[in-house]
Amino acid sequence: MLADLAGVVFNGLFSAMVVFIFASGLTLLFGVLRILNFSQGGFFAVGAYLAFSLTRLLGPALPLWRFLAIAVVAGVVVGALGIVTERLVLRRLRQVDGAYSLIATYALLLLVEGIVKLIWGVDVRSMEPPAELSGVWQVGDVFMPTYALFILAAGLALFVALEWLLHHSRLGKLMQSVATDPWMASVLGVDVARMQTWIVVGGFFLAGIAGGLLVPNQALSPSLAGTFVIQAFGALIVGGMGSVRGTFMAAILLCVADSLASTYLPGVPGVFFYITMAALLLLRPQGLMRGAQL
Amino acid sequence: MSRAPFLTAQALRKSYPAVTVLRGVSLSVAEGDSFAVIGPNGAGKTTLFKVLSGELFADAGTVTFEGRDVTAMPAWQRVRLGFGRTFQVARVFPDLTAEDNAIVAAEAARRGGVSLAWWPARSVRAAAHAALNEVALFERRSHIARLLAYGDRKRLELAMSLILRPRLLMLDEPTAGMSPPDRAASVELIAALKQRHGMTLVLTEHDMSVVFGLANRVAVLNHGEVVTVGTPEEVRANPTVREIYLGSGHA
Amino acid sequence: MQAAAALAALVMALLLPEIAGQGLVFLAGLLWINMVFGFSWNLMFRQTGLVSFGHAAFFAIGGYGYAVLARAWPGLPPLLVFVAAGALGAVAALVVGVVALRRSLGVYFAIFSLALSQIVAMVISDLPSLGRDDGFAGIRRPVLDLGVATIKLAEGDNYYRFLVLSCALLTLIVWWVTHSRTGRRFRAVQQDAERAAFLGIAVARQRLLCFVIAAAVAAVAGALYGPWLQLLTPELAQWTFSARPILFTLLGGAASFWGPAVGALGFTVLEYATRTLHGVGEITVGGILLIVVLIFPGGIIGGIIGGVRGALGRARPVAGA
Repeated sequence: MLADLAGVVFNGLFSAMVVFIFASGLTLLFGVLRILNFSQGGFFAVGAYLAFSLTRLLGPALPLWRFLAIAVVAGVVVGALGIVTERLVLRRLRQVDGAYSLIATYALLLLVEGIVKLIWGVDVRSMEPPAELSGVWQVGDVFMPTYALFILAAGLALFVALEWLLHHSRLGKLMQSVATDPWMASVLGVDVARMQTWIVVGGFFLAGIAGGLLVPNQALSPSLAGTFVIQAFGALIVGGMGSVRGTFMAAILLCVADSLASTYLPGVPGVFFYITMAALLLLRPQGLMRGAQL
Repeated sequence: MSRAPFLTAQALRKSYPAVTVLRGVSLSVAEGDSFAVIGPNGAGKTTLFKVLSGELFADAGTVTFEGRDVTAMPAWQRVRLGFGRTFQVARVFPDLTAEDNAIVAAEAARRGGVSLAWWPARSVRAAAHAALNEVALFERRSHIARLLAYGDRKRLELAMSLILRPRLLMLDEPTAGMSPPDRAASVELIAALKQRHGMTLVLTEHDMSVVFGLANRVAVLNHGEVVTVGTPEEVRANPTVREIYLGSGHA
Repeated sequence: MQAAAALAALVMALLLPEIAGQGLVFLAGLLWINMVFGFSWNLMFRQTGLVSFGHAAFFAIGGYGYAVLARAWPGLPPLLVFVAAGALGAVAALVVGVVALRRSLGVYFAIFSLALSQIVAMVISDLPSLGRDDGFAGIRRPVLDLGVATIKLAEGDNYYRFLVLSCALLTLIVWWVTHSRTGRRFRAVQQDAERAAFLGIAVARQRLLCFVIAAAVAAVAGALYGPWLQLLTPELAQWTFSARPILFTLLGGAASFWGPAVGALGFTVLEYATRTLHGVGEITVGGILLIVVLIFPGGIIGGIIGGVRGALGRARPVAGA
């Protein structure tokens, strides 16, 4: 029973890190630019498909270092797409009403989804994790796939890195200033436009790298774009709209609650994520990290 | 002061993440007063105004209206008790005509529930027209509110508040953005309306001629605290007030 | 003028089976349902400024609600079942709205509604009695008993005509709400919620009311959809389906009552034209929508009005940057 519980919590934590890795770029974008980016899902899919194609191209063997390098390449390519997207679309959305901006990023998602279909087709593909990550660890009675442990570690590392970057580095201070008061920041000599471009690039880089790291986790299909977006939005809103720490905590709370409830309560698996989300928002309409920055 | 106080604030506190704006403000307004809240920029006038009207909630302290605790009551419920207010920058429904603006107010005043009727009730239209007449906007009733001159919009806003027959009318800088002759006319109009409808006024204002033209009691706020309350003459003679205003360059 | 045009469109829709083949009639039926779906979404968007990304949930609730009720109690009068499906949507919206509209901020509501539609889709996918991912099949077209006569909707184009008339009625309802006293109050709330509150209007309650009406209309549209396709699938509750009324409204022009109808027509044509090319449909719709939001926020109708003004020689504002 106890081992069961540990396994269920482990599963929840694993999903939480998947959601967080996906949602981190989203949080950055919303935190600084106040743009809720639906298309993050589309660019995530681009990263995943890129990683898939690169892996195919480089032959059957997939050592861990190559898997990681491919993910980084996917991140860089998607980050570069971010520059284009920022210039053509996101920059113009700053003058647009919030509802329209949300709809515009949805349009962008459709566009990217269509391009993915055009390039990679509509068939479902899948990919194995690298050999080093294919095993299973057993601790007591709990079986933990190495790949899941790897994602857990990656999510944690990403969180620590972002926290350090945002709260302890000079760059982070600049980002905070642009997020809280762009006008004031520009008066103080920060090149706000450039900073915003770089934040988009960063957010898109995270989407691409997330795609690369998470390919082995699920079947690749064009609708992958939408799969994570809704859960990531849930973590974002429960976390307090644009706080990395909040999103991290919310992802854990929601996913572990969902995992526990799906195991021990009758009902439809996966629904508890949203029920927990509704309950948390009722208790704390401002989100977990109210008033916190990034 | 034998009757129960009309509107009171007790030890109101309000902080924002970086600053404390109200540090224990207490006030008492009697029925029939014209009560002005003045003070230099950043003194907390606007925040106090918002807390009293229900736009914001205080962190601590209470607000009572006719002996009733309204501290946690949202604005629309306070309005139904007899509150009315106008905004610093006139706020009307920009894409409706002046007449429709007044009709929305008149229908709100009757608290009609869901109505699928297409035309407003005759009495509603009459009330709306009467209010537009009172502020000399009847001729321009079919203009889209957005396209009205600023002074007209300000009067339309006033008319909408009057339709609700408030017993307490709160005016946030009623003459902000007006030319001196318009100000004088506005003071006259407000005084006349107060007389006619027997309202109590609470207002904030920068222009001292407006304050001394309308108010019978004045509270001076500085750094989120009440410095003094009294008749306009008392306040004018108060040395601390002189220091605050002359010292900070506002007169 | 509007009434005459609408009436002419109604007559043309009713006469369509006389001149067009079955395929076109089928598409037209879908189009009318889509239009009503779009009108119901724009009722919220235009009148109270709510952006719902989960409107499909109510469409699906109505669709499945009708199918389940009709199967469980075949003896119920069909019109009553359609009304019951609408009521089901309204009740669901009431429950959700009480929670979701506490935070009126646009983005919160958008995400909340999105999550709702996800829950509905998951429940449908999971319940064997609703057919799971295979879909709910075998929804029969009912027999209307009007007292003086009985009409078998399964015969010929009877269901199509019933569909046209029902959609016209739903459109009339939305039009009526939009132009009623209540609609004016909704508009006031949309334009300046705080000002409205200071007139004693319970802003949250107005938004909730509008949400419930829109959900009820969407649910009836969903109920009409089931017997037309004779198959319901969980996709109906998913966010891609929720995006449709948004597309219709923005393509056509959100500022006009008839915008969603124009947009639905444009969308149907586009979708039909690109149906065999994987991805091209999404690229066209996404691209057009993006251009609409960034450059022509008025949509097709706004563009036509601007064009007419330009042709009449009046100065036209320069579109876009």
